[in-house]
Amino acid sequence: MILEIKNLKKKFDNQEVLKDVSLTVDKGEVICVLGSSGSGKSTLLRCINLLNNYDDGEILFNGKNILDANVNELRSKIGMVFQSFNLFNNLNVLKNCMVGQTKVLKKNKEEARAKALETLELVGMSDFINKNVKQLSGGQKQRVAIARSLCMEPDIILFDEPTSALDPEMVGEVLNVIKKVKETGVTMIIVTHEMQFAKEVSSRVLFMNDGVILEDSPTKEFFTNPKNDRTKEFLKRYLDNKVND
Amino acid sequence: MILTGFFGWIGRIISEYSRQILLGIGRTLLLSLVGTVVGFIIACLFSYIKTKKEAGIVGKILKGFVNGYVTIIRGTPMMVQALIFYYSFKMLGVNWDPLTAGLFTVSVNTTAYLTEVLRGGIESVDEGQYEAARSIGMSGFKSMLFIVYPQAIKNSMASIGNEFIVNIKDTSVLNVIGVIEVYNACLMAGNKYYKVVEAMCIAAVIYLIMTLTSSYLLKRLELRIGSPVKEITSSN
Ligand SMILES: Nc1ncnc2c1ncn2[C@@H]1O[C@H](COP(=O)(O)OP(=O)(O)O)[C@@H](O)[C@H]1O
Ligand SMILES: [Mg+2]
Repeated sequence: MILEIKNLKKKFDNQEVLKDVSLTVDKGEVICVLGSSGSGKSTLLRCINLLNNYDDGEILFNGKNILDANVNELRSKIGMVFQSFNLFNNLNVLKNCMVGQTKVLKKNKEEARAKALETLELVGMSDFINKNVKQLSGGQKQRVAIARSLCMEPDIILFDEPTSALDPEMVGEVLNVIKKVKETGVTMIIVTHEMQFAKEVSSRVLFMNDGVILEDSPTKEFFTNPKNDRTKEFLKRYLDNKVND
Repeated sequence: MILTGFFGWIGRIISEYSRQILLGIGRTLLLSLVGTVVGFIIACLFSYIKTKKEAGIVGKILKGFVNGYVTIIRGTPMMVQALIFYYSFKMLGVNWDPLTAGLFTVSVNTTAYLTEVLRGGIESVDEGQYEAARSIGMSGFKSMLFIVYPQAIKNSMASIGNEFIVNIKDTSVLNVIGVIEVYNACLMAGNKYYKVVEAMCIAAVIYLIMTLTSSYLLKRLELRIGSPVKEITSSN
């Protein structure tokens, strides 16, 4: 078990955003998190790497309470891919992938460069290493962001709606890269609205609603035989929209 | 007739006082340059303190100090500051000359303005940049140093350069503590013959040449460093 979340609670001001969330993740699992906007998906991810603090409950990472860990060391082992990419605007593509390795992992330049080139190859961005990040398309930016995260050799990567800010024609390239990343065996939690992708890539799907995990099922079961009425409703709404498209 | 008299006096003042005027130019440039550089360096530190989010008790005290400092310095004339610093330090036994006191004053003054400039620069950098840096395990300090500040400084280049140009002109007030910079050197020359207008026209032309040259050079520097970083704002 790589991650264990027990009875997590989080309030923003007086609004309960996470209400008693529990979850365990095994090494190598790929989990997709579905749920409508505002249900607490981002907050859950952000608690795992302490970008948000939480009010109650416990998060164990590799068996240890994350609050007892050195926060920077913890974060170096937990990758995060943001909806809005957040590539470092002052660095080119290659340096975006090197800076964490040299400044956090204390690797030397050659090692960092080699690793950066390797991951940029994996995401298909080898031809862009010297490009300024502002010259990239959204899809390319997100692929570099994934490479940047992989360079840290994290135990787990958290994806927060990695394709939601992309033009439709770029969604596919990013999803394909995530599928490739899956082959490396890294554990992933992916918040997404891409149902087909969730079906294909994940072994387990969570459905969040109003700060609660309403459903936590193996992927096949989730889509064919959901237990919860809200999940059924959610899936039905999605299928209806699909037909209308 | 009047004109030949006017230019005659100008020529005479320049030739007789060229050494003092050149020294004055040197002092004005020194004051502006040192003031801007020292002010910039300290402002980097102060703006860090001022914008730091997760501040502990020490951080809060430092923040209070910086806020007070910026408010007081920006709210009072540099001429008044110069007199207070120069004579109060003398009373405390610091035996400094006017130029050193002038360098101190202009640095203290520029620090306050550039702290605000850099704070604005830092706030113009998308939050996601800092967050992404933290998310790969950089400390708050490293995130600021390697990711946020390079962008903030780039965004602030025009204002920092402007501060240098303002310093060229505003260091003229340091004549009150006896610094012989451009204005004071010209005034002393003019006073000898009661030709203040002629002397001040010389000063004005010198200031104009210095400010125009500086703004030309700063423009080129800005272009070399690159256009300000434009951001798409984070949506989550
Ligand atoms: N920094 C914040 N301050 C106050 N409220 C927040 C903050 N972040 C999120 N929230 C609120 O928490 C709720 C859950 O947000 P979020 O976790 O982003 O949901 P999701 O990612 O599922 O859309 C929302 O109602 C949102 O407005
Ligand atoms: Mg979200």
